[in-house]
Amino acid sequence: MLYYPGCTVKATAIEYEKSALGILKEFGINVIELERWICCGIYHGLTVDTAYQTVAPMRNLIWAQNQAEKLSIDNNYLLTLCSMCYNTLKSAHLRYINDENIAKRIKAFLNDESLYKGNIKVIHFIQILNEIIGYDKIKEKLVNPLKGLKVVPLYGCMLLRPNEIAIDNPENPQIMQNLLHILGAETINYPYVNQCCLSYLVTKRPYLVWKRADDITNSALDKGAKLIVTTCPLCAYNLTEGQKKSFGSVKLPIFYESELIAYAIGKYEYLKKDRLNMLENILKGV
Amino acid sequence: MPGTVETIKDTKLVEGKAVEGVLGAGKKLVTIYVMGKWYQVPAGLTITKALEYLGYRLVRGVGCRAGFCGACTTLWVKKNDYKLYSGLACQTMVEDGMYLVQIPFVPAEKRIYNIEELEPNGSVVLALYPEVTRCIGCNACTKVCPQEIQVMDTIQEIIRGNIAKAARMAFDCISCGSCSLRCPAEIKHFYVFQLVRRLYGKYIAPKAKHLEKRVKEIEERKYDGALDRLIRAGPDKWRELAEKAQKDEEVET
Repeated sequence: MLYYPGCTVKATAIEYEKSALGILKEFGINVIELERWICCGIYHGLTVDTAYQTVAPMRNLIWAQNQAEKLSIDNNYLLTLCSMCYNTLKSAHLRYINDENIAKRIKAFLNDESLYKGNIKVIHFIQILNEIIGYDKIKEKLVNPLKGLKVVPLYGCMLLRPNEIAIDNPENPQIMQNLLHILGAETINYPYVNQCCLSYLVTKRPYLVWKRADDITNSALDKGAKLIVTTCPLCAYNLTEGQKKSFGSVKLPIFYESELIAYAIGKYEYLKKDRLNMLENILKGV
Repeated sequence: MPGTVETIKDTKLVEGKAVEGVLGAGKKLVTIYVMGKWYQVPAGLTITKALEYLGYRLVRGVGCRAGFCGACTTLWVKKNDYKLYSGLACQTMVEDGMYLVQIPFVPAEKRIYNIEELEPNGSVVLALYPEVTRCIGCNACTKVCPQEIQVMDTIQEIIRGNIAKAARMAFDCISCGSCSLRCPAEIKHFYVFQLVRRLYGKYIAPKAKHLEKRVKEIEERKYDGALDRLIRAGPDKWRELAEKAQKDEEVET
């Protein structure tokens, strides 16, 4: 399966990539990083001139298509870890195959690349666990159930909206909770499960992001959560930095779902040392 | 529009028989347009030489004449071709129908930093040049680079924090600035690349041990005696030594 990393997992979310790719290896998924890729383009679904913003994701899709052909990979999957990359690449793909006008403009502009045939299937890490590996297989490998650990999931918005690319029901997503239950954790209902962390407003109006991080964290703490689980590096960044701003330190740690899986199946080598220690300390207090 | 060989006679620079004398028998002329003005010049000249052949006195837009300094960036289009081409005037032959202009200088703001106070990572580069993250992957920079650098991919390596790879990829950059003129995100690639190369050189690349050793020797005044002897040797000896050195022969100190 081809793999599109994205900039964030190579820079600030290294622990996510390490744990996620480690787990996929454990479950027999052969992951090949694209030999050439650029920033996904952080496609903003509501921007007016969508053709211009589609150039970067289309280039990545074309390179994935070329490499799949070269390596004779016929499943055409393109794995993403970052929710933003997933959203951008998948939206661009759909826009290209559904909107003739956009496709025409993209073809004319990207005449230095091969023609995109529209075959690449952008797939998020959680979907692979759910649809390709199957949660049952994960259950079989469980050695450290997260017994009694109370967690809140945070989907963020990029995996759920717009509806056409949603990996689950946007209003009542369950895909993460189902897996967390299998790992032995207890999930808590709270109002922010599918809320946006306010993403890149952090660069322009950070005070709004700190406020949102404060709201999410306090709500989760009130309900007795010991940690927040996400798969989005941007949510993780904003929540971590927001807590530092509001409380002076991180009161409620944010973990990637992949890190919890790696711990639960006893594969500590896929966790960063400091993250493993942090998780063990939390579990001691349960 | 003029375009036939007969019209050469009308031009001041290559009028009448002088043309034959300059070009020699059998030499071809090509038509070029310099800043919109029509000229005919001998085929096989570089753009720099063609401009001088036409009587232009080059003050800006010329430098080492060997493809290293990046001063003679030139943009052109060709007949029946929508593409904008770029190259170094000293390294590019004139072509028939070339419509060209030289770019004497590319204005760009250079951020001020003290290399001693920086850490070698991507965030440092993005803090100084935040516009780097505006890259939308159009690849206009790569298409125009006369040094055939993968400019867009290099910028992308910086965004993901791999400045060591970026520094190696941008090694051949001569700061001509063509990429920055074309960039819709208004990235100043040549300054960004200069910064990553500096960070790479100072903090990441292995240190040259022989250089450190030699600097230490110089500081310990090991070569003072040899230098004094050389100064006293006089012009004839200097000439002899210089000729030997040019031939890469051993020179005794």
